[in-house]
Amino acid sequence: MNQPILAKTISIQGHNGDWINAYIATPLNETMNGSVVVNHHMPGWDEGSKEITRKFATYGYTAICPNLHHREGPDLAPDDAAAAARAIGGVPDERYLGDCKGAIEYLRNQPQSNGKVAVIGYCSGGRQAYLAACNLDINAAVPCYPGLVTGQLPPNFSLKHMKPIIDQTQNISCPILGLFGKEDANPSQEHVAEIEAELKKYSKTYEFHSYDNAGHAFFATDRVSYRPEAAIDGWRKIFEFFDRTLK
Amino acid sequence: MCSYKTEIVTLSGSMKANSAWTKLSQANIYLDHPFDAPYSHTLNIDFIDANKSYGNRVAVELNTNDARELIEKIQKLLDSEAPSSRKD
Repeated sequence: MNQPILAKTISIQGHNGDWINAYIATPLNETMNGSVVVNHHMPGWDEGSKEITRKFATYGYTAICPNLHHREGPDLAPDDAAAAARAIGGVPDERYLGDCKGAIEYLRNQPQSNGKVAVIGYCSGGRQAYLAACNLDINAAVPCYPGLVTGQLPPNFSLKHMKPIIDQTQNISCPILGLFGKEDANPSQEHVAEIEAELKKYSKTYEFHSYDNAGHAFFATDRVSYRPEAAIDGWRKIFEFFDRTLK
Repeated sequence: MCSYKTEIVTLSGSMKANSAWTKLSQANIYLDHPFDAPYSHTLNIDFIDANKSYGNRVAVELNTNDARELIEKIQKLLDSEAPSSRKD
């Protein structure tokens, strides 16, 4: 946690070969290290997401946070780009997977990379982390309170690109660490049980933790949903998991 | 939770964005996490001109109780006092 780091914004090639912005934080050491793709939450490529990215670097992992709303306006403020993304029905899964794949390739091509990459995400980014585990060549995935991995779409659902992805579970090829708040409604504890049942059905490697007195977005230090006890233990679980999967 | 649900309303009017008046053509309404307001969930409205960038939107994030009161007051005004909008 005391690594000196370098953090900056770069361009990477994502879906369809498009160039998109990404925030990268690199530990300034001479050792080979694992890497992490950070999926930002639905409110956008914001300060909190970049803070999380830097935190991984201080623990010795190269971390990158692609701007998944880049195409909605590369020069827009994160909240405006998020509003634009919502208006078009959210980020299409295919586009996300292309952008994430680009980020993974970028990380594996870094001279310090040991070749191992995890994907972590929060909120809608948690769902995307699960999606990445189902579709991409990665070494670990951490979906944090992922909405709509399972469950029913509500009537008149307007985010046309968001749909349950539980039926892709059999394709998962890496260990999963799932972190949830017991007071969350999406994912609810019933949703968590459904995901766990599906992972068990296909004999996938996973560990789930659901926290008391925590709901959605308990990691977000700049929101009223922040729950220090859950977040502190959650961070510990994440770094223990990465010790096993990325080193 | 993330609600993911957005209601879109076509509008005709004006709004003041970035210190200048501009056309208003649409409102995107959703109940979800705010970007700035200190609540877990708020009633969020993005007033936009569909021909312009989202950087020109006028955004509000309302406490849900306040939103209900606002709706009630608007409804009351419209029912009791407002003449219908005309262009002449």
